[in-house]
Amino acid sequence: MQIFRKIQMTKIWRSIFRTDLPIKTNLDRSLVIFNSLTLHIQPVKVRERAIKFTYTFYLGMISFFLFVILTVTGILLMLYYQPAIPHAYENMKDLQFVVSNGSFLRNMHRWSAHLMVITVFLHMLRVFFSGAYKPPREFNWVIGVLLLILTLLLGYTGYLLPYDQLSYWAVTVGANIVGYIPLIGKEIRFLLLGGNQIGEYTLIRFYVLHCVILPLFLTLLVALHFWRIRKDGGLN
Amino acid sequence: MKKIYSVTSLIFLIVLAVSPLKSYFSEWRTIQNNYNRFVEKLPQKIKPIPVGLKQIWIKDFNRIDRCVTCHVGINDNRLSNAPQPFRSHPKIPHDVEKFGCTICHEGQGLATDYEEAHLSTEFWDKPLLPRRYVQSSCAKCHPDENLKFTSSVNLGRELINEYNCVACHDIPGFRKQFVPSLDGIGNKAENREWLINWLKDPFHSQPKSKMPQFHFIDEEIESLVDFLTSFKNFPNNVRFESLPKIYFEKKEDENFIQLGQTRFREARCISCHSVDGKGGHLAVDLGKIASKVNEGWLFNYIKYPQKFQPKVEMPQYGFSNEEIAAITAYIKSEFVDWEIEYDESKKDQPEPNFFEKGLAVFNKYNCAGCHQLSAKGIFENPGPELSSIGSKKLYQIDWGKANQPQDRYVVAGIPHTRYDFIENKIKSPKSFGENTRMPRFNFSETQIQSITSYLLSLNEEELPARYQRKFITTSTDNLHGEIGEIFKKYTCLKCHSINNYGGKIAPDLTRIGSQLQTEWTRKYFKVPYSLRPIVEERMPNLFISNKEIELLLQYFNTTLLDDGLMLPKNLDLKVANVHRGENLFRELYGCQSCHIVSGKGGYVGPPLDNVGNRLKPGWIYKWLLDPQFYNPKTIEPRSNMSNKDAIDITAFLMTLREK
Amino acid sequence: MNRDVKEEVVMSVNPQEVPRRIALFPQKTPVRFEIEKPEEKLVMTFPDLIIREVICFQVVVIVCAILALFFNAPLEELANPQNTPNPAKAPWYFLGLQELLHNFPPVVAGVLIPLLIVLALVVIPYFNINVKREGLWVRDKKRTLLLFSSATFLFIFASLIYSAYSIAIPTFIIYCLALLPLLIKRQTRFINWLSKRSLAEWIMSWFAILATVLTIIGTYFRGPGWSWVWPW
Repeated sequence: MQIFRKIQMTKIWRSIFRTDLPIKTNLDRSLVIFNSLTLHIQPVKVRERAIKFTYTFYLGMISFFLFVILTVTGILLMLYYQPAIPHAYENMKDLQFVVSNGSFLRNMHRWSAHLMVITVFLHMLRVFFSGAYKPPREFNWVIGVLLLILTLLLGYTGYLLPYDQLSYWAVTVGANIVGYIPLIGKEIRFLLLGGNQIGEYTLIRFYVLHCVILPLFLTLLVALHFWRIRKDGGLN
Repeated sequence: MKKIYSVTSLIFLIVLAVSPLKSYFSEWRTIQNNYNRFVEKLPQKIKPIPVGLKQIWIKDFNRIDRCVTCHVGINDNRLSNAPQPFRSHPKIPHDVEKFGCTICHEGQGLATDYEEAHLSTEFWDKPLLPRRYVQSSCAKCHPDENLKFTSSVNLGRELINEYNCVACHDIPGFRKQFVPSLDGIGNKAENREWLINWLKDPFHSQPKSKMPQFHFIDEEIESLVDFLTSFKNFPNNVRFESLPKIYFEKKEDENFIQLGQTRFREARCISCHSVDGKGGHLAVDLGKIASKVNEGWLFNYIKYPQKFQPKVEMPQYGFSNEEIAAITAYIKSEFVDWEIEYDESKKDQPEPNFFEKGLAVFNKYNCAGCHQLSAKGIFENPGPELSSIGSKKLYQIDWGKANQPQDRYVVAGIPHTRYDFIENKIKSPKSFGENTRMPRFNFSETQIQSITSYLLSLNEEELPARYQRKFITTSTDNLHGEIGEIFKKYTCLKCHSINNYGGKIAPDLTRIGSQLQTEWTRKYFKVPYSLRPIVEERMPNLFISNKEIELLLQYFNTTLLDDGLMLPKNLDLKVANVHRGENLFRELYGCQSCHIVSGKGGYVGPPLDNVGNRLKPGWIYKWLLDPQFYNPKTIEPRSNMSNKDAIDITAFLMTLREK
Repeated sequence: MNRDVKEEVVMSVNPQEVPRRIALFPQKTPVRFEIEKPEEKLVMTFPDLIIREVICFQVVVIVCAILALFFNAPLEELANPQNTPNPAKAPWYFLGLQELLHNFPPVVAGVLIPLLIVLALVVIPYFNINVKREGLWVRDKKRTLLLFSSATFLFIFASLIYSAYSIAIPTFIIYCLALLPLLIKRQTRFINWLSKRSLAEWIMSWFAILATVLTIIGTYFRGPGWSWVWPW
């Protein structure tokens, strides 16, 4: 304990962590939130009723954590993935048979993704039924709708990446639906698939969408979503 | 809240630790540890291996085989008796490191657990090939080579050829076989009943029949028989020659029948034909032939086989009319199916539209695939092509109503694998649905497996060119002119071959003129005998006329020669040391263990007592130096004999003459 | 929620406790008038909220990890454009749409309906009708019944034309539920709760239930040729 104290008193420690331990006063508690990049988007004080589980069922929070898990496992999976035919599929076999914890990572990524679709949808229902979309939160609701669409798109683009029968035909069905759009359907489908049929270019396109473009938008919108919660009077 | 926090933290840590532990205690790690423990106990010093995944990457195939992760000792001969999975691979001409495992054995090379690697799992339709079908993989790269390791595939190829599978199925590399024409069958058949029984079950009267059982329904058989018996004209409008009077006068005369029997024996008919299962298997069984065909057919057919059955392989014997009549009488008196029942009532009243109905049946079952029949409205109606059956996808296979998968790939009864499908399809075609047209052949289990083996090798899979071996067979050497006629008449090439074209039953004739002495050959034509007593097929006495014999000899001595079979100029039999040769023959090379000389010796090779009259010295000399050069399959050992030894032995052998 | 100003006044009668503020606003102002909320008990974010967040995070990871340990993500054979599985199914969250595609013309089911759904979701907060969410039957019952019923039956009729029973039946059930407070006079808790649901809530529940039902049907009840199969 003494040593820990001493370490805490060092210049280096203090240069990194602003908060003094132990935390005793409400000021200290406030400073924990203020001084932290990640925590300071939250208010220092919150309504007690608002943080009860039954108030929000934490659905937004759960969705966000699922996104965090997806990001972490997704980045690890990227290390073993080549968006090429048939390497993509072989990489799945490698994950399954050779990479340590490979199948765990993949399973985790897949199930979290499914769960996220569910929790985001439930979150939307919760917000609606508790009337939390009403002014001044109208725009945040719209962002939420966009986030739901992005989640679905992320799921859809990720679905192709293993390049097995399941993904191929699921994506084909989806792409055919796009093709039904009047007038420009065929063009959009072509743009999406990078051709008339699913192939190597589709794989690259979906890979980039899944790993870069969509997560980027999602992150930005999530940030905006959180910021609006705070500004529109969220928990406090 | 803090309590909840401590509990969840604990669970959090435990749950995240499970997966790394799981991979640490994985199946293959345990197996490798077991291996290290196992080799420690062995008397031979085998180094333990560092634990870790192992794989073979074959770049050309873009394959990765991780089988060696568990099959650790695959390349170590010292482990040839070790328990699996550590046992070493039996010796094969290929290097495991260069070819990997799944190219031959199939299975999922990428997998590292037992079930995924070996068995047919839901999404891997190429499970490990059972041992009986591994050969099929050899034939993927060596398609037409009769490799000595692939006896099963070789047999399968022969069977597919022999049973004329290409009549219905497109299989590359096969030609349609001769099958009797049906023209004139109405004039040939002894009676209707026999045809009906034959169509119902060919194996009843000919257990080895190449004609399969089609499982016709009775109605179909009736119309088909009516339809067929209406064809009374032989091909090319040839007509029966009426039987000589002597036949009708003497057909029940004992002596006459006796003459027929003698000629039947002399001509060695049973070298090709069997009688009630005994005898050769090259041609049909004659046991019940008299109930099948009438006497007119028998007489005319023996006289001019190819006139009535173009392209038939039966030789035309030089019998006189009387002799043939005697043989006919003999056959008519002996080879009868006594069980057959005649139902005369039906015979004369065919249905009004029997022709259309019969034609429909004829076409439905693709009879025209094998049999020729000159009638309008006949077309070929083939079955599925098999050129890539070995890589047919499971989902493309019609498993039939009765075999609707419960689970996606597992069925009650027949497992959903490629080889099980082919095997069962041949064994009992109806097991995949009643509607199939595929007939049943009377194959043994081994034959079915051989055919399956061959079919499995017909693979679409792209193989790198440098792994492929194409075996080029020299194509037809068509014989023309008079000689061609003689060869055709006596169907020499059914058994013999010239330049790789022809049968494989009897010796190759490509260089026969350089091998045999003319005088001996002339005598041999008159009274052929078998050189090797243990060989079943014998040269029949074809009763070739003297004129034809001279023509053949002339052809042998002018065309079927090999200049390489001359004695070298610097060697001369006159200066060769006969005694030394005899000693070498008897002592050093021990030739008598296989060859008989003066009553002593083995039965494996031909007796050499008269060899000095039979063979030409140049041939003996060259043969001694390198037997396999002329006949790759001969079992005569290549002893790296020196030229001097060879010439001396040749000189000795040339002294062996019977007076 | 429904407090009005009078109560507010009552709450702050004691000027020592809550000092009265007076503000003057011009006619046009960006400031919104908000009814002052009663003071609620506040707690510190750290540690009360943070610990909940951490626990929540841990639970989420635990659930995912357990799922990942016991259920393997599906992996079929290598994609093969020649081998169309029957039926080819989209990812499960689009199976509701695919189910619609089975019944309606592709332009309607594949383009129009999703577009309408997204548009409807986006505009929800900008519709000021009934922000207070009165129960469906609070006002003019007859008129409401007429409009509500005709809209519902028009919709059911339309879906029946395309023989979309998977839409018609759930819609009808929800319609019956909505009508229950009118039919049953007995005041049970359930009936009371139903009678307080507003039109917006009914529509949203209808949408959510329909989406769930369609997705479940598409996932488990559709076999070869998109025919009805039982999953057991």
